[in-house]
Amino acid sequence: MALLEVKALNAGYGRFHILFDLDFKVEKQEILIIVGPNGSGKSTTLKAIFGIAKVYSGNIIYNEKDITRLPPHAKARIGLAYLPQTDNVFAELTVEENLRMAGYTLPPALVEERVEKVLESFPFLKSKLKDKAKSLSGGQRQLLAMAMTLIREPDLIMFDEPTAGLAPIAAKEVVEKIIWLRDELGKTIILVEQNAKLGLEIGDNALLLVSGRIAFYGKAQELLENKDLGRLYLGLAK
Amino acid sequence: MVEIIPSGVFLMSAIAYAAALGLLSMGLSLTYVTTRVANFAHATIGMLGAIVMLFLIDRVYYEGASYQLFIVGPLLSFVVAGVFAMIMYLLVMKPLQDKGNDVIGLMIATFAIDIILLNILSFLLNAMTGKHLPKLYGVNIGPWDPTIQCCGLELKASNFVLPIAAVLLTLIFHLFLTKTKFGVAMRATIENPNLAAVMGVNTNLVYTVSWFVSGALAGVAGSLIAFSLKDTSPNSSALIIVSVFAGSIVGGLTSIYWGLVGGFIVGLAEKLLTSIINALYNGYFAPALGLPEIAIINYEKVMSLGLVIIVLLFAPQGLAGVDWSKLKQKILRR
Repeated sequence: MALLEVKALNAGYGRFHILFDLDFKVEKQEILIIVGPNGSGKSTTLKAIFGIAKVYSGNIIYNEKDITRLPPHAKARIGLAYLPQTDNVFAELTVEENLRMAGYTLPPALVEERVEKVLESFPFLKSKLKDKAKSLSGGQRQLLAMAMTLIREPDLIMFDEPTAGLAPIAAKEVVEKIIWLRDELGKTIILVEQNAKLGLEIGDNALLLVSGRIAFYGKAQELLENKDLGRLYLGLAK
Repeated sequence: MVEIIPSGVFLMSAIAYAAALGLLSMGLSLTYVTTRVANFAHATIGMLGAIVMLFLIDRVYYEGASYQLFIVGPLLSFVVAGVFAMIMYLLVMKPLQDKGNDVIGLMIATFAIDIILLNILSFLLNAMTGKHLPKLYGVNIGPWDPTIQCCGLELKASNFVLPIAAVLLTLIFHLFLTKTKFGVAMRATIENPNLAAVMGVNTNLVYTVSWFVSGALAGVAGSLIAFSLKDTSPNSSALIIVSVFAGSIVGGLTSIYWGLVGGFIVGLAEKLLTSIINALYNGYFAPALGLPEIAIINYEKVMSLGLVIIVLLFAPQGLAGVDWSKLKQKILRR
Protein backbone atom coordinates (compact mmCIF):
# COMPACT_ATOMS: atom_id res chain seq x y z
CA MET A 1 0.00 0.00 0.00
CA ALA A 2 1.39 3.38 -1.01
CA LEU A 3 2.02 5.91 1.75
CA LEU A 4 0.69 8.76 -0.36
CA GLU A 5 -1.61 8.59 -3.30
CA VAL A 6 -2.63 11.60 -5.37
CA LYS A 7 -5.68 11.08 -7.56
CA ALA A 8 -6.83 13.38 -10.38
CA LEU A 9 -5.54 16.43 -8.54
CA ASN A 10 -6.52 19.86 -9.84
CA ALA A 11 -5.12 22.76 -7.85
CA GLY A 12 -3.91 26.34 -7.99
CA TYR A 13 -4.19 29.71 -6.30
CA GLY A 14 -7.57 31.43 -6.33
CA ARG A 15 -8.58 31.51 -9.98
CA PHE A 16 -5.13 30.55 -11.26
CA HIS A 17 -5.51 26.91 -12.18
CA ILE A 18 -2.00 25.47 -12.15
CA LEU A 19 -2.15 21.69 -11.79
CA PHE A 20 -4.23 19.48 -14.07
CA ASP A 21 -5.26 15.91 -13.30
CA LEU A 22 -2.14 14.73 -11.49
CA ASP A 23 -2.03 11.04 -10.60
CA PHE A 24 0.89 9.51 -8.74
CA LYS A 25 1.86 7.39 -5.75
CA VAL A 26 4.70 7.43 -3.29
CA GLU A 27 5.67 4.15 -1.66
CA LYS A 28 7.18 3.93 1.80
CA GLN A 29 10.91 4.73 1.94
CA GLU A 30 10.91 5.97 -1.61
CA ILE A 31 12.42 9.19 -2.93
CA LEU A 32 10.14 10.69 -5.56
CA ILE A 33 11.81 13.43 -7.57
CA ILE A 34 9.66 16.12 -9.14
CA VAL A 35 11.40 17.92 -11.98
CA GLY A 36 10.28 20.24 -14.75
CA PRO A 37 10.84 23.67 -16.27
CA ASN A 38 10.23 26.85 -14.32
CA GLY A 39 6.56 27.50 -13.65
CA SER A 40 5.52 23.93 -14.38
CA GLY A 41 3.83 23.54 -10.99
CA LYS A 42 6.48 21.62 -9.03
CA SER A 43 6.22 23.71 -5.87
CA THR A 44 2.46 24.00 -6.24
CA THR A 45 2.21 20.21 -6.17
CA LEU A 46 3.84 20.15 -2.72
CA LYS A 47 1.73 23.06 -1.54
CA ALA A 48 -1.46 21.41 -2.75
CA ILE A 49 -0.59 18.18 -0.94
CA PHE A 50 0.11 20.12 2.23
CA GLY A 51 -3.02 22.26 1.94
CA ILE A 52 -1.40 25.62 1.28
CA ALA A 53 -2.45 25.85 -2.39
CA LYS A 54 -6.14 25.43 -3.18
CA VAL A 55 -7.33 22.01 -4.28
CA TYR A 56 -10.23 22.29 -6.76
CA SER A 57 -10.84 18.60 -7.24
CA GLY A 58 -9.22 15.23 -6.80
CA ASN A 59 -8.07 13.34 -3.72
CA ILE A 60 -5.00 13.09 -1.58
CA ILE A 61 -4.83 9.80 0.28
CA TYR A 62 -2.30 9.41 3.06
CA ASN A 63 -1.99 6.15 4.97
CA GLU A 64 -5.32 5.07 3.47
CA LYS A 65 -7.07 8.19 4.78
CA ASP A 66 -8.45 10.97 2.61
CA ILE A 67 -6.67 14.14 3.81
CA THR A 68 -7.58 16.40 0.89
CA ARG A 69 -9.46 18.92 3.03
CA LEU A 70 -7.34 18.87 6.20
CA PRO A 71 -5.75 22.25 7.08
CA PRO A 72 -1.92 22.37 7.09
CA HIS A 73 -1.57 22.32 10.88
CA ALA A 74 -3.64 19.14 11.03
CA LYS A 75 -1.52 17.52 8.32
CA ALA A 76 1.58 18.37 10.33
CA ARG A 77 0.13 16.38 13.21
CA ILE A 78 -0.38 13.17 11.25
CA GLY A 79 3.15 12.79 9.95
CA LEU A 80 3.51 15.03 6.91
CA ALA A 81 6.26 17.61 6.70
CA TYR A 82 6.93 20.25 4.11
CA LEU A 83 10.06 22.34 3.74
CA PRO A 84 9.42 25.49 1.73
CA GLN A 85 12.12 26.62 -0.69
CA THR A 86 12.81 29.93 1.03
CA ASP A 87 11.91 31.34 4.43
CA ASN A 88 11.89 27.86 5.86
CA VAL A 89 13.28 28.89 9.23
CA PHE A 90 12.15 31.72 11.49
CA ALA A 91 14.93 34.23 10.94
CA GLU A 92 14.05 36.36 13.97
CA LEU A 93 13.91 33.43 16.38
CA THR A 94 16.98 31.74 17.85
CA VAL A 95 18.09 28.33 16.62
CA GLU A 96 16.79 26.85 19.87
CA GLU A 97 13.41 28.58 19.52
CA ASN A 98 13.24 27.35 15.93
CA LEU A 99 13.81 23.77 17.04
CA ARG A 100 11.21 24.11 19.79
CA MET A 101 8.72 25.63 17.36
CA ALA A 102 9.23 22.58 15.19
CA GLY A 103 8.03 20.43 18.07
CA TYR A 104 4.99 22.60 18.63
CA THR A 105 2.56 19.72 18.40
CA LEU A 106 4.51 17.48 20.79
CA PRO A 107 4.42 17.22 24.60
CA PRO A 108 7.23 19.34 26.17
CA ALA A 109 9.21 16.40 27.56
CA LEU A 110 9.29 14.76 24.15
CA VAL A 111 10.46 18.01 22.53
CA GLU A 112 13.51 18.08 24.85
CA GLU A 113 14.33 14.51 23.92
CA ARG A 114 13.88 15.07 20.20
CA VAL A 115 15.93 18.28 20.21
CA GLU A 116 18.78 16.38 21.87
CA LYS A 117 18.48 13.59 19.33
CA VAL A 118 18.39 15.93 16.34
CA LEU A 119 21.41 17.85 17.63
CA GLU A 120 23.35 14.57 17.56
CA SER A 121 22.69 14.36 13.82
CA PHE A 122 23.33 18.06 13.22
CA PRO A 123 26.17 18.78 15.66
CA PHE A 124 27.06 22.18 14.17
CA LEU A 125 23.82 23.56 15.60
CA LYS A 126 24.92 22.92 19.19
CA SER A 127 27.18 25.97 19.31
CA LYS A 128 24.55 28.16 17.68
CA LEU A 129 21.51 27.47 19.84
CA LYS A 130 21.31 31.05 21.16
CA ASP A 131 22.01 32.71 17.80
CA LYS A 132 19.21 34.06 15.68
CA ALA A 133 18.59 31.91 12.63
CA LYS A 134 19.25 34.87 10.36
CA SER A 135 22.93 34.69 11.33
CA LEU A 136 23.31 31.24 9.71
CA SER A 137 24.63 30.72 6.18
CA GLY A 138 22.32 29.49 3.40
CA GLY A 139 23.48 25.88 3.71
CA GLN A 140 23.24 25.97 7.50
CA ARG A 141 19.71 27.30 7.25
CA GLN A 142 18.67 24.44 4.99
CA LEU A 143 20.15 21.98 7.47
CA LEU A 144 18.39 23.75 10.36
CA ALA A 145 15.15 23.55 8.40
CA MET A 146 15.78 19.84 7.91
CA ALA A 147 16.59 19.38 11.59
CA MET A 148 13.34 21.18 12.46
CA THR A 149 11.42 18.83 10.22
CA LEU A 150 12.90 15.82 11.99
CA ILE A 151 11.81 16.99 15.44
CA ARG A 152 8.29 15.81 14.68
CA GLU A 153 9.62 12.54 13.22
CA PRO A 154 7.35 12.72 10.19
CA ASP A 155 6.95 9.79 7.84
CA LEU A 156 6.69 11.81 4.65
CA ILE A 157 8.96 14.79 4.05
CA MET A 158 8.49 17.11 1.08
CA PHE A 159 11.47 19.27 0.10
CA ASP A 160 11.07 22.25 -2.20
CA GLU A 161 14.39 22.88 -4.00
CA PRO A 162 16.59 22.51 -0.93
CA THR A 163 19.80 23.05 -2.91
CA ALA A 164 18.71 26.22 -4.75
CA GLY A 165 21.24 28.99 -4.36
CA LEU A 166 23.69 26.88 -2.37
CA ALA A 167 27.40 26.50 -3.09
CA PRO A 168 28.15 23.03 -4.59
CA ILE A 169 29.72 21.77 -1.39
CA ALA A 170 26.73 22.87 0.72
CA ALA A 171 24.34 21.39 -1.85
CA LYS A 172 26.20 18.09 -1.65
CA GLU A 173 25.85 18.05 2.13
CA VAL A 174 22.10 18.68 1.88
CA VAL A 175 21.66 15.90 -0.69
CA GLU A 176 23.65 13.48 1.43
CA LYS A 177 21.38 14.24 4.37
CA ILE A 178 18.32 13.50 2.24
CA ILE A 179 19.69 10.11 1.25
CA TRP A 180 20.55 9.51 4.92
CA LEU A 181 16.93 10.30 5.82
CA ARG A 182 15.68 7.54 3.58
CA ASP A 183 18.39 4.94 4.22
CA GLU A 184 18.99 5.41 7.94
CA LEU A 185 15.69 6.77 9.23
CA GLY A 186 13.40 5.09 6.73
CA LYS A 187 11.67 8.31 5.69
CA THR A 188 9.61 8.72 2.54
CA ILE A 189 10.61 11.76 0.52
CA ILE A 190 9.20 13.93 -2.22
CA LEU A 191 11.92 16.18 -3.57
CA VAL A 192 11.41 19.08 -5.94
CA GLU A 193 14.81 19.74 -7.47
CA GLN A 194 15.96 22.39 -9.90
CA ASN A 195 19.17 20.51 -10.59
CA ALA A 196 17.50 17.71 -12.54
CA LYS A 197 20.61 15.57 -12.94
CA LEU A 198 21.45 15.70 -9.24
CA GLY A 199 17.85 14.91 -8.33
CA LEU A 200 17.35 12.07 -10.77
CA GLU A 201 20.56 10.40 -9.64
CA ILE A 202 19.31 10.01 -6.09
CA GLY A 203 15.61 9.51 -6.86
CA ASP A 204 13.81 6.19 -7.03
CA ASN A 205 10.90 7.44 -9.09
CA ALA A 206 10.51 10.65 -11.01
CA LEU A 207 7.68 12.91 -12.03
CA LEU A 208 8.24 15.33 -14.89
CA LEU A 209 5.78 18.19 -14.90
CA VAL A 210 5.25 20.40 -17.91
CA SER A 211 2.70 23.22 -17.72
CA GLY A 212 0.99 21.61 -14.77
CA ARG A 213 0.57 18.22 -16.43
CA ILE A 214 2.49 14.99 -16.06
CA ALA A 215 4.86 14.49 -19.01
CA PHE A 216 6.67 11.51 -17.50
CA TYR A 217 6.09 9.34 -14.46
CA GLY A 218 8.30 6.33 -13.81
CA LYS A 219 11.75 5.25 -12.73
CA ALA A 220 14.13 8.16 -12.19
CA GLN A 221 16.88 6.29 -14.03
CA GLU A 222 14.64 5.96 -17.10
CA LEU A 223 14.00 9.68 -17.23
CA LEU A 224 17.71 10.35 -16.83
CA GLU A 225 18.34 8.12 -19.85
CA ASN A 226 15.49 9.55 -21.92
CA LYS A 227 17.43 11.86 -24.20
CA ASP A 228 14.41 13.62 -25.73
CA LEU A 229 12.66 14.61 -22.51
CA GLY A 230 15.98 15.44 -20.87
CA ARG A 231 16.98 17.77 -23.66
CA LEU A 232 13.58 19.35 -24.11
CA TYR A 233 12.65 20.06 -20.53
CA LEU A 234 15.54 19.49 -18.18
CA GLY A 235 18.51 21.06 -19.91
CA LEU A 236 20.37 17.74 -19.82
CA ALA A 237 22.94 17.86 -22.62
CA LYS A 238 23.35 15.22 -25.38
CA MET B 1 9.05 85.43 34.03
CA VAL B 2 7.34 82.65 32.15
CA GLU B 3 7.83 79.04 33.25
CA ILE B 4 9.29 77.06 30.35
CA ILE B 5 10.09 73.90 32.26
CA PRO B 6 6.75 72.22 32.97
CA SER B 7 5.72 71.60 36.57
CA GLY B 8 6.07 68.19 38.19
CA VAL B 9 2.33 67.66 38.17
CA PHE B 10 2.12 68.46 34.47
CA LEU B 11 5.12 66.26 33.74
CA MET B 12 3.52 63.32 35.53
CA SER B 13 0.24 63.76 33.65
CA ALA B 14 2.19 63.93 30.38
CA ILE B 15 4.01 60.69 31.21
CA ALA B 16 0.69 59.04 32.10
CA TYR B 17 -0.87 60.15 28.81
CA ALA B 18 2.23 58.95 26.93
CA ALA B 19 2.03 55.58 28.68
CA ALA B 20 -1.62 55.23 27.64
CA LEU B 21 -0.74 56.04 24.04
CA GLY B 22 2.12 53.55 24.24
CA LEU B 23 -0.28 50.77 25.27
CA LEU B 24 -2.75 51.74 22.56
CA SER B 25 -0.09 51.96 19.84
CA MET B 26 1.39 48.64 20.90
CA GLY B 27 -2.03 46.99 20.52
CA LEU B 28 -2.63 48.66 17.18
CA SER B 29 0.74 47.42 15.89
CA LEU B 30 -0.02 43.94 17.21
CA THR B 31 -3.15 43.37 15.13
CA TYR B 32 -1.39 44.99 12.19
CA VAL B 33 1.61 42.64 12.29
CA THR B 34 -0.53 39.55 12.82
CA THR B 35 -3.57 40.11 10.61
CA ARG B 36 -2.57 43.16 8.50
CA VAL B 37 -5.58 45.10 9.74
CA ALA B 38 -5.12 48.83 10.44
CA ASN B 39 -7.84 49.05 13.05
CA PHE B 40 -9.49 52.46 13.15
CA ALA B 41 -11.89 51.25 15.83
CA HIS B 42 -8.97 50.71 18.20
CA ALA B 43 -9.40 53.87 20.28
CA THR B 44 -13.15 53.34 20.56
CA ILE B 45 -12.47 49.81 21.79
CA GLY B 46 -10.21 51.48 24.35
CA MET B 47 -13.08 53.76 25.34
CA LEU B 48 -14.97 50.64 26.37
CA GLY B 49 -12.55 50.71 29.29
CA ALA B 50 -13.62 54.26 30.12
CA ILE B 51 -17.25 53.16 30.03
CA VAL B 52 -16.49 50.22 32.32
CA MET B 53 -15.03 52.76 34.77
CA LEU B 54 -18.10 54.93 34.43
CA PHE B 55 -20.41 52.03 35.25
CA LEU B 56 -18.24 50.91 38.15
CA ILE B 57 -18.45 54.43 39.59
CA ASP B 58 -22.19 54.63 39.01
CA ARG B 59 -22.98 51.22 40.52
CA VAL B 60 -20.25 50.42 43.05
CA TYR B 61 -17.83 53.23 43.83
CA TYR B 62 -20.29 56.17 43.74
CA GLU B 63 -19.41 57.28 47.25
CA GLY B 64 -16.08 58.73 46.25
CA ALA B 65 -12.48 58.15 45.33
CA SER B 66 -11.29 54.61 45.99
CA TYR B 67 -8.02 52.86 45.28
CA GLN B 68 -9.84 49.59 44.74
CA LEU B 69 -11.37 51.13 41.63
CA PHE B 70 -7.88 51.28 40.14
CA ILE B 71 -7.48 47.51 40.36
CA VAL B 72 -11.00 46.33 39.55
CA GLY B 73 -11.53 48.89 36.76
CA PRO B 74 -8.47 48.13 34.60
CA LEU B 75 -8.88 44.37 35.10
CA LEU B 76 -12.52 44.41 34.08
CA SER B 77 -11.72 46.72 31.16
CA PHE B 78 -8.96 44.32 30.09
CA VAL B 79 -11.53 41.54 29.74
CA VAL B 80 -14.42 43.57 28.28
CA ALA B 81 -12.38 45.37 25.60
CA GLY B 82 -10.36 42.22 24.86
CA VAL B 83 -13.47 40.14 24.33
CA PHE B 84 -15.04 42.83 22.16
CA ALA B 85 -11.94 43.04 19.92
CA MET B 86 -11.86 39.27 19.65
CA ILE B 87 -15.51 39.11 18.62
CA MET B 88 -14.95 41.92 16.13
CA TYR B 89 -12.17 39.87 14.55
CA LEU B 90 -14.08 36.60 14.46
CA LEU B 91 -17.40 38.03 13.31
CA VAL B 92 -16.27 40.69 10.85
CA MET B 93 -12.57 40.88 10.04
CA LYS B 94 -11.86 37.18 9.58
CA PRO B 95 -14.85 36.49 7.31
CA LEU B 96 -13.89 39.56 5.24
CA GLN B 97 -10.31 38.37 5.05
CA ASP B 98 -11.37 34.86 4.07
CA LYS B 99 -13.39 36.36 1.23
CA GLY B 100 -10.18 37.89 -0.09
CA ASN B 101 -10.55 41.54 0.95
CA ASP B 102 -7.29 43.44 0.89
CA VAL B 103 -5.71 45.77 3.44
CA ILE B 104 -7.72 48.76 2.24
CA GLY B 105 -11.05 46.95 2.31
CA LEU B 106 -10.38 45.72 5.83
CA MET B 107 -9.35 49.18 6.98
CA ILE B 108 -12.58 50.67 5.67
CA ALA B 109 -14.47 47.94 7.48
CA THR B 110 -12.83 49.01 10.75
CA PHE B 111 -14.00 52.58 10.05
CA ALA B 112 -17.52 51.24 9.72
CA ILE B 113 -17.26 49.28 12.96
CA ASP B 114 -15.86 52.35 14.69
CA ILE B 115 -18.82 54.49 13.65
CA ILE B 116 -21.37 51.81 14.48
CA LEU B 117 -19.81 51.19 17.89
CA LEU B 118 -19.59 54.93 18.64
CA ASN B 119 -23.23 55.45 17.78
CA ILE B 120 -24.45 52.46 19.75
CA LEU B 121 -22.46 53.52 22.80
CA SER B 122 -23.57 57.15 22.55
CA PHE B 123 -27.17 56.09 22.13
CA LEU B 124 -27.09 53.73 25.07
CA LEU B 125 -25.30 56.16 27.38
CA ASN B 126 -27.72 58.94 26.44
CA ALA B 127 -30.77 56.73 26.85
CA MET B 128 -29.77 55.24 30.18
CA THR B 129 -29.99 57.02 33.47
CA GLY B 130 -27.40 56.40 36.10
CA LYS B 131 -28.19 54.54 39.28
CA HIS B 132 -26.29 57.05 41.37
CA LEU B 133 -24.89 59.46 38.82
CA PRO B 134 -27.42 61.95 37.41
CA LYS B 135 -26.47 61.01 33.84
CA LEU B 136 -24.13 58.65 32.06
CA TYR B 137 -23.19 60.59 28.95
CA GLY B 138 -20.39 63.09 29.22
CA VAL B 139 -19.64 62.70 32.92
CA ASN B 140 -16.37 64.02 34.30
CA ILE B 141 -15.05 61.19 36.48
CA GLY B 142 -11.99 63.23 37.54
CA PRO B 143 -13.32 63.60 41.12
CA TRP B 144 -13.04 59.83 41.57
CA ASP B 145 -9.28 60.03 40.98
CA PRO B 146 -7.65 60.17 44.44
CA THR B 147 -4.90 62.69 45.03
CA ILE B 148 -1.58 61.35 46.24
CA GLN B 149 1.02 63.46 48.07
CA CYS B 150 4.41 62.65 46.66
CA CYS B 151 7.68 64.54 46.61
CA GLY B 152 5.90 67.68 47.69
CA LEU B 153 3.50 67.44 44.78
CA GLU B 154 -0.21 66.66 44.65
CA LEU B 155 -0.45 63.94 42.04
CA LYS B 156 -3.45 62.07 40.67
CA ALA B 157 -3.61 58.31 41.27
CA SER B 158 -4.40 57.58 37.62
CA ASN B 159 -1.19 59.36 36.63
CA PHE B 160 0.72 56.91 38.80
CA VAL B 161 -1.18 53.80 37.85
CA LEU B 162 -0.96 54.34 34.07
CA PRO B 163 2.84 54.23 33.72
CA ILE B 164 3.01 51.33 36.20
CA ALA B 165 0.31 49.45 34.28
CA ALA B 166 2.11 50.12 31.00
CA VAL B 167 5.44 48.81 32.29
CA LEU B 168 3.81 45.81 33.96
CA LEU B 169 1.69 44.84 30.96
CA THR B 170 4.63 45.23 28.57
CA LEU B 171 6.76 43.06 30.82
CA ILE B 172 4.08 40.37 31.09
CA PHE B 173 3.47 40.48 27.36
CA HIS B 174 7.20 40.24 26.69
CA LEU B 175 7.53 37.20 28.97
CA PHE B 176 4.49 35.67 27.28
CA LEU B 177 6.09 36.17 23.85
CA THR B 178 9.51 34.80 24.79
CA LYS B 179 8.91 32.24 27.54
CA THR B 180 5.66 30.49 26.65
CA LYS B 181 5.16 28.02 23.86
CA PHE B 182 2.16 29.90 22.52
CA GLY B 183 4.03 33.22 22.71
CA VAL B 184 6.91 31.89 20.63
CA ALA B 185 4.33 30.50 18.20
CA MET B 186 2.84 33.97 18.02
CA ARG B 187 6.19 35.50 17.10
CA ALA B 188 6.73 32.71 14.60
CA THR B 189 3.31 33.37 13.05
CA ILE B 190 4.05 37.09 12.83
CA GLU B 191 7.24 36.35 10.93
CA ASN B 192 6.00 33.60 8.64
CA PRO B 193 2.39 32.38 9.00
CA ASN B 194 2.71 29.64 6.38
CA LEU B 195 5.76 28.13 8.00
CA ALA B 196 4.13 28.36 11.44
CA ALA B 197 1.14 26.44 10.07
CA VAL B 198 3.51 23.88 8.60
CA MET B 199 4.91 23.40 12.12
CA GLY B 200 1.43 22.66 13.37
CA VAL B 201 0.54 26.09 14.78
CA ASN B 202 -3.13 26.95 14.57
CA THR B 203 -2.56 30.41 13.12
CA ASN B 204 -6.24 31.33 13.38
CA LEU B 205 -6.01 30.88 17.13
CA VAL B 206 -2.88 33.08 17.19
CA TYR B 207 -4.76 35.80 15.30
CA THR B 208 -7.75 35.56 17.62
CA VAL B 209 -5.54 35.83 20.70
CA SER B 210 -3.67 38.78 19.20
CA TRP B 211 -6.98 40.62 18.79
CA PHE B 212 -7.90 39.84 22.36
CA VAL B 213 -4.56 41.14 23.66
CA SER B 214 -4.76 44.23 21.47
CA GLY B 215 -8.25 45.09 22.72
CA ALA B 216 -7.34 44.27 26.31
CA LEU B 217 -4.34 46.62 26.30
CA ALA B 218 -6.52 49.34 24.78
CA GLY B 219 -9.17 48.73 27.44
CA VAL B 220 -6.69 49.22 30.28
CA ALA B 221 -5.36 52.41 28.69
CA GLY B 222 -8.90 53.69 28.11
CA SER B 223 -10.06 52.93 31.63
CA LEU B 224 -7.24 54.96 33.18
CA ILE B 225 -7.06 57.79 30.68
CA ALA B 226 -10.77 58.39 31.32
CA PHE B 227 -9.92 60.30 34.52
CA SER B 228 -8.06 63.00 32.62
CA LEU B 229 -10.74 63.47 29.95
CA LYS B 230 -13.07 66.42 30.38
CA ASP B 231 -15.97 64.07 29.94
CA THR B 232 -16.17 60.32 29.56
CA SER B 233 -17.97 60.03 26.27
CA PRO B 234 -17.11 57.46 23.62
CA ASN B 235 -16.55 60.29 21.14
CA SER B 236 -13.23 61.12 22.82
CA SER B 237 -11.80 58.26 20.79
CA ALA B 238 -11.98 60.30 17.58
CA LEU B 239 -9.09 62.48 18.72
CA ILE B 240 -7.18 59.73 20.48
CA ILE B 241 -7.08 57.44 17.42
CA VAL B 242 -5.08 60.07 15.51
CA SER B 243 -2.35 59.99 18.15
CA VAL B 244 -2.47 56.19 18.37
CA PHE B 245 -1.85 55.84 14.65
CA ALA B 246 0.85 58.49 14.87
CA GLY B 247 2.53 56.43 17.59
CA SER B 248 2.35 53.17 15.65
CA ILE B 249 3.63 54.81 12.48
CA VAL B 250 6.50 56.52 14.30
CA GLY B 251 7.31 53.08 15.72
CA GLY B 252 7.20 51.59 12.25
CA LEU B 253 3.91 49.60 12.35
CA THR B 254 5.90 46.39 11.97
CA SER B 255 7.08 45.98 15.54
CA ILE B 256 5.04 45.64 18.72
CA TYR B 257 7.75 47.03 20.98
CA TRP B 258 8.54 49.95 18.72
CA GLY B 259 4.81 50.65 18.64
CA LEU B 260 4.96 51.10 22.39
CA VAL B 261 7.98 53.40 22.09
CA GLY B 262 6.35 55.35 19.25
CA GLY B 263 3.17 55.87 21.24
CA PHE B 264 5.15 57.02 24.23
CA ILE B 265 7.19 59.51 22.20
CA VAL B 266 4.10 60.89 20.46
CA GLY B 267 2.33 61.25 23.82
CA LEU B 268 5.24 63.13 25.35
CA ALA B 269 5.59 65.32 22.27
CA GLU B 270 1.91 66.26 22.33
CA LYS B 271 1.95 67.30 25.96
CA LEU B 272 5.47 68.52 26.68
CA LEU B 273 6.55 69.99 23.36
CA THR B 274 3.31 71.93 22.96
CA SER B 275 3.62 73.23 26.49
CA ILE B 276 7.25 74.31 26.00
CA ILE B 277 6.62 75.90 22.62
CA ASN B 278 3.54 77.60 24.03
CA ALA B 279 5.56 79.08 26.90
CA LEU B 280 8.40 80.14 24.62
CA TYR B 281 6.13 81.79 22.08
CA ASN B 282 3.67 83.52 24.37
CA GLY B 283 6.29 84.31 27.03
CA TYR B 284 9.12 85.61 24.83
CA PHE B 285 8.57 85.78 21.07
CA ALA B 286 5.06 87.22 20.98
CA PRO B 287 5.77 90.12 23.40
CA ALA B 288 9.22 90.80 21.92
CA LEU B 289 8.04 90.84 18.33
CA GLY B 290 4.65 92.37 19.01
CA LEU B 291 2.80 89.30 17.76
CA PRO B 292 -0.63 88.28 19.02
CA GLU B 293 -0.87 85.58 21.70
CA ILE B 294 -1.81 82.14 20.41
CA ALA B 295 -3.00 79.30 22.61
CA ILE B 296 -0.53 76.85 21.09
CA ILE B 297 -1.39 74.45 23.90
CA ASN B 298 -4.60 73.66 22.00
CA TYR B 299 -2.73 72.36 18.96
CA GLU B 300 -1.42 69.08 20.37
CA LYS B 301 -2.26 67.03 17.30
CA VAL B 302 -0.05 69.26 15.16
CA MET B 303 2.84 67.93 17.25
CA SER B 304 2.01 64.27 16.84
CA LEU B 305 1.28 64.48 13.15
CA GLY B 306 4.27 66.75 12.56
CA LEU B 307 6.40 64.17 14.31
CA VAL B 308 5.06 61.46 11.98
CA ILE B 309 6.17 63.45 8.95
CA ILE B 310 9.60 64.22 10.39
CA VAL B 311 10.24 60.62 11.44
CA LEU B 312 9.08 59.23 8.09
CA LEU B 313 11.30 61.72 6.23
CA PHE B 314 14.39 60.49 8.05
CA ALA B 315 13.33 56.88 8.66
CA PRO B 316 10.75 55.72 6.11
CA GLN B 317 10.31 52.43 7.99
CA GLY B 318 9.75 54.20 11.30
CA LEU B 319 11.95 53.71 14.34
CA ALA B 320 11.82 49.92 13.90
CA GLY B 321 13.57 50.26 10.55
CA VAL B 322 16.50 52.30 11.87
CA ASP B 323 19.79 50.43 12.11
CA TRP B 324 20.60 51.59 15.63
CA SER B 325 23.99 49.86 15.92
CA LYS B 326 25.13 51.54 12.71
CA LEU B 327 23.83 54.87 13.92
CA LYS B 328 25.68 54.44 17.20
CA GLN B 329 28.92 53.70 15.38
CA LYS B 330 28.44 56.77 13.20
CA ILE B 331 27.91 59.01 16.21
CA LEU B 332 30.82 57.51 18.12
CA ARG B 333 33.15 58.00 15.15
CA ARG B 334 32.51 61.70 15.33
